[in-house]
Amino acid sequence: MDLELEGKRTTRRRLLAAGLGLGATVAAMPLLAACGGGGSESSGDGGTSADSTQGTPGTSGDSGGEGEPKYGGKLTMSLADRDVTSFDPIIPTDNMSIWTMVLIYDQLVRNAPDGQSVEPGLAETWEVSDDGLTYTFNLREAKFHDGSTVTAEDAAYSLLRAVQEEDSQWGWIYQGVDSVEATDERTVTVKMSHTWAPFLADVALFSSSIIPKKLHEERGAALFDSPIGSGPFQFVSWEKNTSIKLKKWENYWDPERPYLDELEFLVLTDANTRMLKFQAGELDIATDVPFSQLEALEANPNYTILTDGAARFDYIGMNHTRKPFDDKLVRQAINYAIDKEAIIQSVLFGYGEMANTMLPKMLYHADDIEGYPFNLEKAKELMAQSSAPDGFTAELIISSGDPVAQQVAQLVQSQLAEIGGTINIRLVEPGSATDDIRALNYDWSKSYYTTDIIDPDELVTFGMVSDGGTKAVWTGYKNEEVDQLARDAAAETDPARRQEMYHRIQELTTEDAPVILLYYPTGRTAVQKYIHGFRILPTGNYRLWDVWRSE
Amino acid sequence: MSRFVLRRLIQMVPVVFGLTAVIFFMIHLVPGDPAAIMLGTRATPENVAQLRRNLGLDEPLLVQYMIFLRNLATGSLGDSIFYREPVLGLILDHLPTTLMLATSTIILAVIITVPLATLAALKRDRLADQLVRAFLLVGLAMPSFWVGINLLLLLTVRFRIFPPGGIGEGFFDQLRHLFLPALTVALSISAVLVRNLRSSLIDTLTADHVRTARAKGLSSRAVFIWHVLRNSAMSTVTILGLNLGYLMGGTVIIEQVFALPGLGQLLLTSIFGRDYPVVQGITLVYAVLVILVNLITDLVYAALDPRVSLD
Repeated sequence: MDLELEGKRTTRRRLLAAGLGLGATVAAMPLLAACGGGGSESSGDGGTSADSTQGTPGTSGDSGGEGEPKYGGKLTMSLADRDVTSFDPIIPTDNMSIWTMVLIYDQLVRNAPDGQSVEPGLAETWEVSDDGLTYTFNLREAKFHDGSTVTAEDAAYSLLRAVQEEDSQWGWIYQGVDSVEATDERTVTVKMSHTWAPFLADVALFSSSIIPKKLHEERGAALFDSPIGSGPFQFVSWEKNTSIKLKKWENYWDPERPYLDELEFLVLTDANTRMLKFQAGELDIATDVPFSQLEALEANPNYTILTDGAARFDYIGMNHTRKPFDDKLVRQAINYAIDKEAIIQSVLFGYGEMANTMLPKMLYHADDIEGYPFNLEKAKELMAQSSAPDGFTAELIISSGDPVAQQVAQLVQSQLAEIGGTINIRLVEPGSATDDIRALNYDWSKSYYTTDIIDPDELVTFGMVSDGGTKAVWTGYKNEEVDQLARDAAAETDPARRQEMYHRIQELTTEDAPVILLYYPTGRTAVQKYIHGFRILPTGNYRLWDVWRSE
Repeated sequence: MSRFVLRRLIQMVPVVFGLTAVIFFMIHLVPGDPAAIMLGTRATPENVAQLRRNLGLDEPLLVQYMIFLRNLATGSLGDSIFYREPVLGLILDHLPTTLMLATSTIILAVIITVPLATLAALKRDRLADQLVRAFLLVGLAMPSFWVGINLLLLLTVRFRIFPPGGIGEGFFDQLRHLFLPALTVALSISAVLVRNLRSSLIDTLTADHVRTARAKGLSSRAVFIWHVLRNSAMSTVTILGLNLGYLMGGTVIIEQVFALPGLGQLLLTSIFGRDYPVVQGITLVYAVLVILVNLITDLVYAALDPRVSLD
């Protein structure tokens, strides 16, 4: 959790920042159109650029989706955090593994580009019973990368693994699943013990990826050394800590996709090296561009800078078991005393937005809540009424090697001095304070979170609920109304009702201010101009099957 | 000679053993838990505890050390926590890059050192000497990562002569990729070497045997190569050997800057992820390499100077 750098390695998706133009217009339509269209066979295997007879690459607010998509070519992209750790769908919790994995495997449904809904994946259609307790998925005709046919048996087996297997890191997310069965060759039926609104979002999670049952039973964990899925790209090689190569799966169920023949991911954790390689033309897409370099890159007509894909919430966690941070007035005063806009302008170079609630800009995010705009008068007033009118002292833990966190900490330090706060900044090597934070043995810690599913349930449980296993992002915050609302919202199947509930949760948690709400940073991806159709999905991963290159 | 080598190799055993203990307990002293790091923000304490059990991290430290030693005795370095595969294989995958980098660095360092030191010694106190000495000062003062980044900016982004990091494919492409990183490390080492070689050249140039050699009518080139350079090289070789540990340290940083998939990069990633077995394995390899190179230095020493007896 917690520390920036560590979070960088291990936390997950980023959601779409609203208002960035990726709007709902695209939704699931292009893909549906493509599947429905059939017939338009592409000259898939050559490096030549055959015209596809139909379909836009399904992109609008992305790296230039204009023009007829071309087939062929290779795309090189960076993995900025670290190497992939595993291709077993139920194991990894790190973004690099997750985002690479979803290119190799299919799920029954997958996240639509709008970031608010799911679209057909391996399941062409699905039905939900009226009581919300039975889900029936109808599978399409598809083949695994070894040529065998994907059956309902494989799908049920894979989903059950994610739900039940002891090793599954994601079992907790599938609440209420009672049984998963292959009811015939092409049908998977899931029975629920209670209604669980985020279920389809969970099925779109990478851990629900479909693996060949027979091969897994034969080979066990060895299967994931050279993983076999039915996704748009098949595995070629993995040089540890260096690169991962994938190639086009010729028999992919969508006859029009993927456009690219080859993908290569280079592990480039050093930001300077990454950007040098990009500027020298050796990288087609560079992820995680340093804030300080964005302006120069944007000025270059050969590059596109994508700011989508950043549903991330940055905050400073406070330990409520230590005084005076158990006092709501103190926490509110602190929130008012921090000039978020100044931080965004000077540290993020403007690439971010003040956080008004604890939920990043995703489904059910409440735009109308005011949050804590900078107001020193009000902060002083609140401090005077609080249990600590003479000020407070806190030690703020930040990750060494993260210049952004360090600058934020220094600004926070000087701003809080205005209301009598004495902040001691402690730089720690990422990972070394984890145990203390989990044991609530700390004062403050700069951190952030991102989401893995499109449904807010994951982050609400993780960040705001007291009994979700993480003590409300390790703050010790507890509000029974929030806890109850979170449970109800997950069981409620009516979207309008859910929206209200999540709105109320955000109102309550903003009011209580369990943490210092900082900002929602935008995504920062540099893309060469000749790459088209690239976008970062709301959940942080990228639909490389939609991407093509014009030269 | 072979007895000397054998004796030195036997002496390695307790040294390496001591090293394993130091490395093992030192890395475990650093706070941080690989299971917690792997599972990330969302993990509950139960998830973490479960993974710790699976990884054998819940055993007492001494037991873990015994397991490490037992593995070592059978030639295994254990399994990587992150990759769940043998550490030895990972190291063997990454070792060639680092060895190539170290070798190219040494070769480049010699190529830089000998002419510069010769020039400075022969033109002592003249302009050329001053320039070389100024270069040394700069070379010593600049941190190598900074030099590396600037070389990259100049020679790859601006002039596009060299590739911007990575290792390339095929031997010659790899050499091309290795040139800048090797140059970067070589520059910082050369600064030390040139200084040393220059002063021993100056000493030797005025020695009696050199005057004798000149007197018997040898050409000044022959005198220089056979009587001056060879005698002066002794201490420089020693310094080069002693600096290998430093060179290895330098490669860790430089591999990061140039995205070279070598041991240094693997080491750094593994330290951040608390991948104990990999960190232990790599440190062990580095240690053995340094010890071996010291041994080789002694052998070269003997070869250069007949007065040095190894037995």
